[in-house]
Amino acid sequence: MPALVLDSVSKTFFPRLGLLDRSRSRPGPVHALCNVSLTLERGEVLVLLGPNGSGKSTLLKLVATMLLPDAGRIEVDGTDAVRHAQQVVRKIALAVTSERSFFPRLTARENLEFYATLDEVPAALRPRRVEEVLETTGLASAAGRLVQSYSAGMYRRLGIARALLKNPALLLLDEPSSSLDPETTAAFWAWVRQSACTGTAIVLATHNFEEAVTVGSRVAMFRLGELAACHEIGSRISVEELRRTYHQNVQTAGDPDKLWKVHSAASL
Amino acid sequence: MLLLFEKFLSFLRRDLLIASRYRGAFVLWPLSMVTELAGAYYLARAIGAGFRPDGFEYFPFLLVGTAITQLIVVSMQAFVESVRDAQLSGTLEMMLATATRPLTVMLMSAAALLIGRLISLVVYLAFALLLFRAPIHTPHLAPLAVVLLVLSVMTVSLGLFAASLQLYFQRGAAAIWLFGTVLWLFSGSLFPVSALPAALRTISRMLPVTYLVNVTREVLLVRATLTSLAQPLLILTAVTGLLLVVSLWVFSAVLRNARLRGTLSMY
Repeated sequence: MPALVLDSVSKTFFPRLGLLDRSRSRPGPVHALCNVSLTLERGEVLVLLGPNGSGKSTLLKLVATMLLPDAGRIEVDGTDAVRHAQQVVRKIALAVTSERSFFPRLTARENLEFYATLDEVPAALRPRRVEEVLETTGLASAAGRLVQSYSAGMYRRLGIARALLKNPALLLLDEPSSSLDPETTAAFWAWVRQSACTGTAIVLATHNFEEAVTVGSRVAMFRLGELAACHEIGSRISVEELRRTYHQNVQTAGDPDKLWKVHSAASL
Repeated sequence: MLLLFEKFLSFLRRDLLIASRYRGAFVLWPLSMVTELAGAYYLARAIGAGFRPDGFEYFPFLLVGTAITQLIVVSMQAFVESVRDAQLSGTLEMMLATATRPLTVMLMSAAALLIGRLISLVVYLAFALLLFRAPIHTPHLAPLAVVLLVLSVMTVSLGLFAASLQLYFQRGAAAIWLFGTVLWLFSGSLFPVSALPAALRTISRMLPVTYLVNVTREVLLVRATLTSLAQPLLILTAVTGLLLVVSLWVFSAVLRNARLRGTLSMY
C-alpha cells in the first residue's frame, strides 16, 4: 500500500474584498493546485520542486489536513485524508519550520512537551522522546531558552524536532534547510536519506534544485499549481537533463504577477 | 479520560507559564481589581442608602452584577485573543494538525482559560468582602454549585461563539464589544431591569444572563436555597445546555469552512 496517494487534487482560493474595495474589479480565483496526481511509496523521498507560489506548501497543507481540497482524493497509508482526518494526522508530521508556529514565551523544551502531549506520545516516554529529538536536532544546549530568542536556523531545527516527536510514517518537510548553515544542511540531508532508509516516506518541498537532487529519490516539478514534470533521480534522466527540464519548464515559465497572487493566497 | 486530563493539564501549564512571563500584567491584575471595586463602592455611596434595587443594597447589587457580566465578557474577549494569538503565532494550524481533535483543542484552551477567570471572580469577591465589607453571606453549597456550573458552561458556550466569530470574520473583538454593551444595558447588572421602558424589558427577558445575574444575587446576598430557586435554575440549565450544543455545532462548521477557504491562519 502506498504511503501517499494524490489523485486529481485541486485547490482554488477566492480572495475576499473589503467593503471599500467594491468599486474596483473583483480579483479572479487563484488556482493554487490543478489536478495533481502523485504516489509515494514507503522509504521514498519525494521532492516538490518549484519557485515561490507554485503550490508546494498548499499541497503539504492539504496532506496535513490543514486545508480541504476542492476536488480529488488524498490517501495516507490507505486512509482518506478528508473523511478520516483524525486518523491521518496520527500517521503524519508536518515540519513547519518558520518561527510562526511556536509559543514565543515558552522554552523549546516546553513547546515540545506541549506538542508531544497533543500528539499523544505516551506520558512515560515523553520526557525521553523530547530529549532525544532535541539531541538529534542539536538543540539540547539551548532547550531551556525561550524560543523568541532563537535564530531563524534554530527555529528550522525546532520545527524538525517537533515533527520527529511521534515517529511519523509520512514526514512532510516545508523548505526545511533554508536558513541552515552549510554544515547543518549537509548533516540534515544525510539524516533525511537515513530516515528514508528506515522506511519513513518523506515529502520535501523546496525551491533549491541542489537540495532536490541530493536528497530526493523522485522530483516533482511544480509550475503555477500544476505538476509540470516528475522524474526519478539517477534513473533514465541525468541530473543535467533534469536541471535543463527545470529551467525550461518551471523557472522561466512563471508570470510574476500570478506567482505573487498564488503565493499570497496560499500563505495566508 | 486520563489522556484528556493530561492534555488539560498541559494547556493549563502552558497558559500559566506564559502568563507568569508577562510579569507586569501579573502584578497589575489585583491592582486593577481593587480600583474597580473602589469605583463601585463610592458610586453606591454617592447614590445613597435609599436606593435599593430589587430590595438589595446598591453596592452588593452592583458587585454581583458586574462580577458576572464582566466574567462573561472578559472570557469572550480572552477566547478571541487566544484564537487570534494562536493565528498570529501560527500555532493554531499546528495544534489542529496534531492527534488531538480540533474541538478538544478549543475546549481545553477554553477550560484552562475559564479556571483563570473563576479564580479572578473568587479573588474579586474576596477583596470586596475584606476591603469594602460587602454584605456577602456564606451561601448554600448546592445552589452555588449549580450557579457556578451554569456560569461556566454559559461562559464556554459564548466563548466558542466568540472564537467562531474570530475564525470567520478575523475580527471577533468588534462583535464582543457590541455584545458587552448589550449585556451592560439589558442584563440588570448595573441597574434593575424595571428601570427600562417596557419594549426594552423584552430584550432583557430574552437574555439568559439576566436570569443568571438575578439567581446569583439570590444565592450570594440572601442565602437562597436550591428549592426556592428550583424553577429558574432548571430553565437556566436547559437553556445553557442548548447554548453549548449550538455553539459546538457553529464552531465545527466555521472550522470546516476555514479549512476549505484556507483562512485558518488569517487574522
